[in-house]
Amino acid sequence: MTNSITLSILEENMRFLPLLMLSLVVLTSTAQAQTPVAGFIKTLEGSGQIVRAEATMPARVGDALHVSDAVTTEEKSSIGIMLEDDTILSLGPNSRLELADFAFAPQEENFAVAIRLIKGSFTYMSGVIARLAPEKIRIETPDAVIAVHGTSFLIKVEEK
Amino acid sequence: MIRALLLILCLAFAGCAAKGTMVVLIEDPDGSVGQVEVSTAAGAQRLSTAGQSTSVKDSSTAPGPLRTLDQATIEKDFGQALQARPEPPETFLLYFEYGRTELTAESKPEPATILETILRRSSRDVRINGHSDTVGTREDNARLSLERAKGARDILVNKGVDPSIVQIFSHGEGNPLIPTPDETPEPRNRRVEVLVR
Repeated sequence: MTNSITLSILEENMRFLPLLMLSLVVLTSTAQAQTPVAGFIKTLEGSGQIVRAEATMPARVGDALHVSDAVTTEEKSSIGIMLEDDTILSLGPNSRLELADFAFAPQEENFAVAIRLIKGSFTYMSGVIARLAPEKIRIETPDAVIAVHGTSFLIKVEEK
Repeated sequence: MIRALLLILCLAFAGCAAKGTMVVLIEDPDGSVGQVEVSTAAGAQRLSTAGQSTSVKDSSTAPGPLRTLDQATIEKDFGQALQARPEPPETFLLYFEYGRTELTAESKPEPATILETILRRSSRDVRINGHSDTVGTREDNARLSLERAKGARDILVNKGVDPSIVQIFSHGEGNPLIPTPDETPEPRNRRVEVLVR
């Protein structure tokens, strides 16, 4: 609905196109700035990507991650991530991880970790949330759910 | 019995043992071992010793029996992921003289150690978290914790820490070192945590 309206405006007012594009860009960047940072890429070997909404960009050390981002690695590549509560995650080669939810606001006692491990090999080392609210941690693979009690572990997911 | 049967079936088809999810519990850096529970709609397995693993064929099958993996097997499947793990943050605690902006005698040498650590790790990510005990209102404690964190930042910046790599946070009474009921004086919780990440 919104899309078709936007389209007809575009067709009738082509001279406003630059203005419309600009406002879209501003809206998009505002929306991104409002999502708090969930973590950072801390290590990278070879190459990997961050998938955010419809965009895919090469991952670099120091890149911030936000809720709903996916991180992928290619062959012979690996990525290490540190979340804001000091949870440590890493991806081996040919892996895909989705950060479905994350909240770390001790002052408001608001905690959430939801990670989906879609394929590949991973390590997980729990952070502060595992100590304060372990029941708020949800780690899923296509096959199983993993509940955490203050721990390091490894996960391997082979696609069907 | 059913689990044993599943394992045999799985081995009968070449390669099928690898499909699905495998979870392995390993040691934390401090040598302690936690616990994880792996569950599907059909059942659950709890891992509690280092090297223990379970495999899950799919979401409608219970996790397989516990198996202890040797180091070589772990290295084969997880070597690259293990290699990629960022070094865990190093944590320092700073305590202040009661009601003052001066560090306690025990905390006085810490800022120099923190600076050394930042340089050794080439860290560009330093977090200063202010904390309080549970005496007083949540709002007052949030404000007090922020003031403590700012005081610690000033001390570190005076020591030579680049202020642009430092972020300060207030955890208020929500992240105690020593869990206590509300309205409990606990000097160990009135602290500032410095994380070099």
